[in-house]
Amino acid sequence: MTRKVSLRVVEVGVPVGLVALWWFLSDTDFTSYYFPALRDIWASFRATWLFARVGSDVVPTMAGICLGYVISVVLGVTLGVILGSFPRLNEFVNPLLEFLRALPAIAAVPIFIVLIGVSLRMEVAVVTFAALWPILLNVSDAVAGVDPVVRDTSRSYRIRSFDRLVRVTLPSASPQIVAGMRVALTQSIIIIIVSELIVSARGIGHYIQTAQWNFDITAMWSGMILIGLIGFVLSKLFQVFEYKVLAWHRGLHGKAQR
Amino acid sequence: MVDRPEARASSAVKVDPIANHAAGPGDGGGGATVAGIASGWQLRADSLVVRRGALLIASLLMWQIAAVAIDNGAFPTVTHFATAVGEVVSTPAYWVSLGQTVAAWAIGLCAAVLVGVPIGLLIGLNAVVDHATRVTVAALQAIPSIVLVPLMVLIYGTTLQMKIILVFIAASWPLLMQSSYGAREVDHLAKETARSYRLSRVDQARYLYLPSASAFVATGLRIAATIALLVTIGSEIVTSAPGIGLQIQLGESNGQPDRAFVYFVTASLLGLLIASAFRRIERLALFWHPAHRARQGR
Amino acid sequence: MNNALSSEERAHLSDRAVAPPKIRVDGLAMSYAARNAARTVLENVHIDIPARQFISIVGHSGAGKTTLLRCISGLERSTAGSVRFDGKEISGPPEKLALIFQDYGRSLFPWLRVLANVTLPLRADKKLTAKQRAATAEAALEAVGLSDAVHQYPWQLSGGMQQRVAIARALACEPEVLLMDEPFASVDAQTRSDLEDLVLGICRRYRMTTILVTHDVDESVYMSDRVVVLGGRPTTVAELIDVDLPADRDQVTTKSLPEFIALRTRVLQAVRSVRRASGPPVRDAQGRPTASERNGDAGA
Repeated sequence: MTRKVSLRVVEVGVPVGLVALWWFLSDTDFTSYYFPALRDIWASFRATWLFARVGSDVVPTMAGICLGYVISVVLGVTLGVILGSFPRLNEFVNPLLEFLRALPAIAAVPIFIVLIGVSLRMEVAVVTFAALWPILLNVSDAVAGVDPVVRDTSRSYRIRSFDRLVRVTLPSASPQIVAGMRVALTQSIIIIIVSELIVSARGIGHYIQTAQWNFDITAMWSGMILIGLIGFVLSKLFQVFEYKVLAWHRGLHGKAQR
Repeated sequence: MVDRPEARASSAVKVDPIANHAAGPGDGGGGATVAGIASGWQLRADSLVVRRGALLIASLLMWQIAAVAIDNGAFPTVTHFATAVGEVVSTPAYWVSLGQTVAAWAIGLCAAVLVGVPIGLLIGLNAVVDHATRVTVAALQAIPSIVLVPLMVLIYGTTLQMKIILVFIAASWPLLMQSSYGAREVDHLAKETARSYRLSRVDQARYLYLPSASAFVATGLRIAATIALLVTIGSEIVTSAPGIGLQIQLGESNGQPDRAFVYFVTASLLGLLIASAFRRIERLALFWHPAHRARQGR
Repeated sequence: MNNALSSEERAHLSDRAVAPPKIRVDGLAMSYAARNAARTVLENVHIDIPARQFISIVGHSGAGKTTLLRCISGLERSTAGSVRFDGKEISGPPEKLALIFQDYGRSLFPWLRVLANVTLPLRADKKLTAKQRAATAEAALEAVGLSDAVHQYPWQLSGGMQQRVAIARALACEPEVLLMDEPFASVDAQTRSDLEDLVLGICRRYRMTTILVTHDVDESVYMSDRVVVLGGRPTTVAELIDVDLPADRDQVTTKSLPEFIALRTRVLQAVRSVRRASGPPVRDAQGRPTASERNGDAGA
């Protein structure tokens, strides 16, 4: 077997082996209270999430993530473009924005809970608050830092303002914007779970919290695995999006030195 | 926790005599003194300190207006906050809470460095280990560590130990990933040079791999430090483990938003401090490796 | 004939009306502020360019050729003097003018395919439909020989081809004036000669008034009707040299003519001498060197 093939075998074999190990070990007396049998977790998972509690728990959580994320993207890109286009305004406001970005958004959750009350609105607001900064700062930075040659070309050819924004500035800034969006996505997921763990009436986080109160370990595990899966699926979707939007960027830098 | 590119150097500015600025009413018409005062004012108005000061005042004003308008006990007015600061900070309870948070953060971070960096380096250096762990690492890393909080609480209770373990788990991943990049990304040309000079393995490690890896590890450390703080405070809020997070939660739920806000601002300042300190460390490590700047986007 | 044509001589030529020159650079000066001291880059630059003429601007590195071109293109405002097109002073990038940059890699937009790059400036003309825009762009690309590359990205093409796309983009706007800032500097020598002939042909065929900034003395003589030598400190027009070669230029035959060699030597000497000179030489209103200049102070 060639080296490449054997490496590939290791790559696939090890995780499969680990899962299999957990599965078989858990049937024996090696299980601990806190790491229950994989079989039981799977049973709980199937009973709960396929598809009994999807409507009651998965949908609210996903709604919070998606709404908050979309709002933060729209707001972040809009404000970022404005800030990036007016360097003096940007310079003036920048310290405040840097401070807001450095705030641990998690620490703001209790404040938001009292501010808005326990509701979808609150969760969306918190997610937006957390996810806004990476996008906004990246967008404003990228818009302000558009290549001077690109700027000169647009001015020289008298390209109209709308075209300049949509066909020149935003595409030119897109690598950085997408990077910010990626961070914002992870932030969104984390924040929504935290706020659901603290206080909520429904949602995956709430489900896990309730399971903890009831000492239902398998239920907890099934919830945790579900979140991991959701995070994985969302990041894969994002990768597809990034792949499509930044195809030109990859091509350009793949041919770095001619 | 994405980095922003270094500030771009500004190009030469055209001659724009200060008096040419669209100045206030004194310009052009009045006597020399008025124009002189106006231009002098313009000169000072452009200075950094004044701008920052104006921003601060504007922010405080917005805060005050918002607090008065939204009078539902979520956050205090500027004045209440100011008095609360004096009260809270002077109590030992404040410093105890701060210590509990920082202790968990620091110990967990150290543990993450001791475990994450060597494993990461090993992954980067050895192709077999790399491939063996690739899928597992990717899968485990995708799970937000905050999700483990309920389980951790069951196992360890709302203790310092629980927080430390959580921080350790959360902070290990960025350190591991960055260390693996660092080991992998040693400049090919540098490696060839080292080989052609027949450097011993130890010397290679010392002069080639270590400096390159340290640049990446410094980035990983910065990312890990920020994550560690978030996870510490997050776990305190969710589980009511003692620390800053708990105090924020208590303050808000007991109708004492000014107290809560003092701790919230403390958390923010802590975050800022950690971010800037580790960014400085990173820049020191980067100083040797201009090529690393290209990786800033990760 | 070292001098620029006088206005009377110009008026006698059949295809030139007694009208303001196509481009007039009048007393242009450019200063920058650097740490409380003003640095003057350009001073007292006077150039008249009649319609359909091809002029080259040469000078040593850092002389300010690019700065001058940017002022003429409207991208930058000079600190003194003016630039007039057809008699009217410009206050920004004017219509009917196209600028080709040296760095085609950054000037062509990598997120757009070649056709989209060429049609983008046309979108400003609201009278054109999408179909007309595409047709114009395709015609321009055909004129530069790139009909096959229409659906590729610029970075998939070679350097010479990318610069041809940039030329096509300029061509599609049907400019009356074409400005080029060292367009062939980043291209290898063989491609360079091909591009020089391509540009020459296009400028003739489409009757464009052209300004080429270059550091290559041979190129400046080969391509143009007149060479403007910049130099001095601060930079001004050091010399104006008419290129009296036959209109049909050819890479091999033209460049072996004794007149060509004499001209390039003159240009080269002018560039070098002006680099050594300590101050700006004395000029008359039309940019002609004064008698004392001509008679030998150039070697100082």
